[in-house]
Amino acid sequence: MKLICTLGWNSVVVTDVVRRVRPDEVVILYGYENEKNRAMVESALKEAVDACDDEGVPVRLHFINPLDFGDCLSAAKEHLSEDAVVNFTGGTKVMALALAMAALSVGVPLIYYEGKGGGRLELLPLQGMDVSSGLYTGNRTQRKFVEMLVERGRVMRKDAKRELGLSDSTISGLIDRFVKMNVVKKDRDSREVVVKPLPGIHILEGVRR
Amino acid sequence: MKVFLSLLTVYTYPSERGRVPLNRQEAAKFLDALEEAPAPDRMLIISDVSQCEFEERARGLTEAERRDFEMVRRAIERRTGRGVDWVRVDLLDYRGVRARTLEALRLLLGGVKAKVDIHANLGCGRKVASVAVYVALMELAHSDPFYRRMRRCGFRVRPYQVEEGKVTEFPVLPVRSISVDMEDAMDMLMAVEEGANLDALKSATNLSQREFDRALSHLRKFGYVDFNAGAIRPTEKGRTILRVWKALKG
Repeated sequence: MKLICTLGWNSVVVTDVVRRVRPDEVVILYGYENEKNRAMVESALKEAVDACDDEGVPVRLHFINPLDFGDCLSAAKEHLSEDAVVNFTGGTKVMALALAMAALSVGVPLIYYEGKGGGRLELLPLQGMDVSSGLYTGNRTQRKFVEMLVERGRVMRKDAKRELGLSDSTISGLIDRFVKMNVVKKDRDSREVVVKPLPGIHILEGVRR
Repeated sequence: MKVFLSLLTVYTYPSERGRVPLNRQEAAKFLDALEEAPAPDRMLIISDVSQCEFEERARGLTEAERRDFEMVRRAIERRTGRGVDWVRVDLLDYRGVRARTLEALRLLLGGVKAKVDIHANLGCGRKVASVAVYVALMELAHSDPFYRRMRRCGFRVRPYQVEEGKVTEFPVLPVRSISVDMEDAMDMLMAVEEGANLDALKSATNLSQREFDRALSHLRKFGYVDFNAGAIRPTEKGRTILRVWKALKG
């Protein structure tokens, strides 16, 4: 079992969970946005790594920008696997939400630790993302559009229409769906519609029906 | 109708060194998120204190914290002509926050025929509460009739947060709570740990036919078990969640 944790100022949210769950491997996602936070986070990180060493559990560290949702998502997705469990208790809200959402997109279990009253660990009753019931159906066209947006960072509606071989109404419908999913932003460049991906687009990469 | 939904808490740790920055950050994140939302018609606050307690608690804090929370109080008053719906719930109770948020949203939006635009600030309060509010919103958005309205543009959800001036937009994903009893599903997974056929599984679990079918279909749909040569076995994913479940149960 691989335990993936987010870490901020407090090491207990990692050390206590490692002692309780006894994973085979731990991945710690950590980061700081300024020098003031750096000392606090590094001190918590040292305590967490020492505790894992004491338990004989190998640790992998991954530095991320704690306020960059896209960076946090990419890091989380890099480590998620069939044998993973996610503990999103530590770090910033952006780190925690990115890890939780990435885990939900592939159906990895989520746990949360509450330190009060001797420590309580909870497995959240959530199932994976059900693409059959959402605006994203994971069909070939949607997947290609996601790839295009991630690769280029900015796509003109007319180019997407031509390259994906879609009609006017189909490309408009597809863009509107992604806007409602809050994964792209629609702008205008003179008279042309330009679609720009928001960081949440990364969650759809590789997700298929 | 534009709705601004937000979590909000007041930290009361005795140590000022830890508490003051957290409270000041909480107030700043709330005000920035409110600023980022278009003028709301209704406001829904999910908090571990009532509106009166919020004002009372703030009075007992340092001058800087008091000033910041006073700005929050005034902003709420100024931005909601028709008042605010304030839900008091323990923000560390995932199930409670999810259920109360869903209930409050259904009450608020139940009879609304106009276009609904929900701006949900997930940056305040506790992390587990942010996930609970997110799940409640997603469940609402993907339930009838809101999903039909969302496809037709009559309903929009925007989960986001603002921290240190940076706006983060979160995606709208079809995530849901599990539709079966967690204990039933885990009992079933435990029963097939070493592999079992359907008849052996039926006799090993003490479930009605309906509960049995629901639990098994949940485990299959989300890849916790597979069927091979008449035997049901846990997948790698199934073995992992089972290991966590056992660790949690001690």
